[in-house]
Amino acid sequence: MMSLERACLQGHQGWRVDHVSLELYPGEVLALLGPNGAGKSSILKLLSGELACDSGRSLLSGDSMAALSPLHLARRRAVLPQQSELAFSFKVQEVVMMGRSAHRGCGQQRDQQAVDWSMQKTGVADLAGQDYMSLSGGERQRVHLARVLAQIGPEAEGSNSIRFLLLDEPTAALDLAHQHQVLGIARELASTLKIGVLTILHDLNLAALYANRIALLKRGKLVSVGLPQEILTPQNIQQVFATQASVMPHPHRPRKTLVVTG
Amino acid sequence: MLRRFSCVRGYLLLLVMSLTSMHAAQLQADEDQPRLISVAGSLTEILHELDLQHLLVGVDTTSRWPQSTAELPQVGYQRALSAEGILSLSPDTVLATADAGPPEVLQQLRDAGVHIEQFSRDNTIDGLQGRIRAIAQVYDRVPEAEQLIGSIDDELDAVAQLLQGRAAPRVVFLLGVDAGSSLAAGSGTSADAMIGLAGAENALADYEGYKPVNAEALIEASPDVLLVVQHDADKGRDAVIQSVLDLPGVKLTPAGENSRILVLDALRFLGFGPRTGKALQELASQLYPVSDAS
Amino acid sequence: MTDMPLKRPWSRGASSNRLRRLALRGAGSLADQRNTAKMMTGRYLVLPLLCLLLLATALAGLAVGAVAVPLEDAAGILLQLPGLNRASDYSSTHVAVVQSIRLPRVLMGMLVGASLAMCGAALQGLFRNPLADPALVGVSSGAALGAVSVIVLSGTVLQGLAQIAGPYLLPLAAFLGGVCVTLLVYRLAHSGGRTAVTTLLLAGIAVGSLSSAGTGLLTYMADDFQLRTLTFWTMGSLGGATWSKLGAAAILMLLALVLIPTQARALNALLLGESEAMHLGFDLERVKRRLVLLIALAVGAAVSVSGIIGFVGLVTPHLIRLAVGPDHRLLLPASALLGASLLLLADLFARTIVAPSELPIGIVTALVGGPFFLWLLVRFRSQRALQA
Repeated sequence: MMSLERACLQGHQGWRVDHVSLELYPGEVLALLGPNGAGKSSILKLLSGELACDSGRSLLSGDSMAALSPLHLARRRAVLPQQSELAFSFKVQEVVMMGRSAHRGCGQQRDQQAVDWSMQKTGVADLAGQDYMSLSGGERQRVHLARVLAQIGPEAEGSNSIRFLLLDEPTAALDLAHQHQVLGIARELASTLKIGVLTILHDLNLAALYANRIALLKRGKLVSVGLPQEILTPQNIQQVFATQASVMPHPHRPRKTLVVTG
Repeated sequence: MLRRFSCVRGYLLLLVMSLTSMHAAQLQADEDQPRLISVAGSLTEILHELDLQHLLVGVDTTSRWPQSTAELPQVGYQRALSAEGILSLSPDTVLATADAGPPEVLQQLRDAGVHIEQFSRDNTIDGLQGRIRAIAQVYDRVPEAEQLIGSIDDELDAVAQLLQGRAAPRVVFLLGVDAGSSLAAGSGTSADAMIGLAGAENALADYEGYKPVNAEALIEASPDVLLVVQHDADKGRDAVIQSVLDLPGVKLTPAGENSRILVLDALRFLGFGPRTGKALQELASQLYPVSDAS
Repeated sequence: MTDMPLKRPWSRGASSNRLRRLALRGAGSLADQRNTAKMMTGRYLVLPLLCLLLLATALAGLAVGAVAVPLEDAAGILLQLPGLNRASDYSSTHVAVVQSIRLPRVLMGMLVGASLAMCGAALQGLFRNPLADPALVGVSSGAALGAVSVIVLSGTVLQGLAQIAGPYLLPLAAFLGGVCVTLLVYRLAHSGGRTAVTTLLLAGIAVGSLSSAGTGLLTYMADDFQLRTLTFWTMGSLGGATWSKLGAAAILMLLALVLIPTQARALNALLLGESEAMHLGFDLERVKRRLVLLIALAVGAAVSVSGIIGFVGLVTPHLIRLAVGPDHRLLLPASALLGASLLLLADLFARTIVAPSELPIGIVTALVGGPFFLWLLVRFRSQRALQA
């Protein structure tokens, strides 16, 4: 389990993250929702170990994140950024292979297996020999998804098998079909490999379809966390996003909700 | 040699000169005669005065007089010598001042069996005469050396005669007037030594070495005479004098008011070679014109 | 937590997309996929090729010079060293030229060129800046300050030291100047357990200008002869190469040439961005500390024995990137090999073109490197190939 315990992060004016306690369990997809500036990315950075709490704690399986080395963290969790800075003519396969950096010494065959698996999963296998710079924005985003999947791998290594995937707006650069593909992969990894997935989303309906739980944030505070149908209420949406919304059952999907805003 | 050496143009000039001299015919010395390379302009001049120039197989970039020196292969600047370049001329001896370097190259030359004859570099007449005697002794030119030293002494006597009973004028030596920024000679420079030997007073002796001088410092120093040098003292003398007069502050000094600007030959005046006596005579005759004798 | 059945309405979309892609790219993409492995090993062929180039330039450097040593004599004299040739009827001048002038000079040229180029490549990766070269973290300006201090002050303030250290004072001071200034820059950019690369860059520029001001002050105090000496020093030369000078500097440069490539994966990851490199498991603070230290040692040692030689560290990595791409596992060793060859060629040129005199090598590298770099910029400006 990954968790924050009363975590705080100082911002320029007041707290960027204000006493947030949140758990990410293995096998679930947890969506972080909130307006701009609510602290979603900061919480992701606290959970990834990139930032340290100013007060409170961030924990990975009970160990304080601050005490773990980057290498140790990298074997347990992978992070997909909103956008990557990479601007070089690497082959797609080489970019994905970078994900295996933390597993040096595990054997080339195992690395290649992980890379093949992740490229297959994300549908970029037929781009393997292409120049990364020649890809479209959406293709690049999927290559990076393949890279982070390769990092945590198809099977766990070592004694501790619990792995986590932190996604920062993974659908931002993608078209409709690929948005569903990416979140579908996240959902599948959670249920089949018991990977804990945290994803920042802006689309309430994507969250409603793919998340097991939703956490709502506003101005650095956790407003509420729970099942999608409990969280996505007109009152909550009004309070957090200041937007009128109607919530109704999804026409094609049993037990899912559909949010209509505006 | 005394231009501001950070000046790239000067460097390129040297480069072109060395490129052209590379193809100059190598003087073939006799088999049994020593082969010499001189890496200091003043030593090269001494060799010429002692009639030893036929032994030279190479010189450095500071050796620019007499003109025939330009025919010899160039081995570069005396402080940035190249071991292999010098060895390629198969010299027996390299004549150098204490300035020659870098030390590793000198060591490499010694290791390859080249004798390095090093002389002091001091701006005194004694030092100069010592260098003349030392070279003469090695290459068997003692009578010629004594004659040369005698004539230098005569020239110095003539200078002493000229300045007898005359007040010492205040002099400032300026370098690089034509380059747009001028440096004044302070103490420890060869210009300062020459000014002293000519019985004048260096008005900027508080400076050490060559230092940039501004208009106010120049007015404060209030020189009676300004000295400048150039490589060919007769060429465009009036233009040089005009550009000195145009420097800020010069017109407010006694030298500027009376247009007392002397243009001298750079190598002869600053080189402390065998022509030093003549240079002093020339300087003294201009500092103390016979017409103003009281 | 509720367990929901996994539904995949999107899987159809994914496969139809793949069909679209196959239709669009045709057989090319399949061929690409099959050829990937072959192409990746193919690029590594550049290393043996560069080794051959280096060998050729080194042999040329040993065989050619102002003194005309016949090729077979040069070879025979070289073979004397490992004791493979017992003939001793060579002219003593030729032996001295080959064994104690050309050989240390060629070895030094190789090490200096390799160090400058590899450090340039590593810094361009570390800063993700195509213009990074060793001057940027203050190594060159610090070394210049050290060297100029010795040139100007060894007659007065540093007289005691000059007597103890003799001719080694100048390289020692240049080395210490380079390393101290770089470590100062690193300290300044390091706060709260982190080193911001932008701050490192800016601190490098600021401290670099400060030490240049110090150099300027010393230049002001210098006399005419010192001025020329320091001008020549800042234009670089391999002319001072001797076995004893080579010894200590070679150890430091070799150390960096061996250890910097171990950071190749980290440098690759850094191309993704700093946080991504950290997410991938690299301890960036350690990577930066090691790289800055190794670069300071190697470039400090290089500058201390050869003066300031520009453009090799800047241009060589770009050339290699154009040829084999940005992968540091290949880029670092290939840059080192090419940098060594280029510097040997430049030195060969510098010491033969105006023989028996020689040009400062920095002039040659700048004369050749500057226009060449411009050509690269113009030729590839649309392809972003020069990005680092």
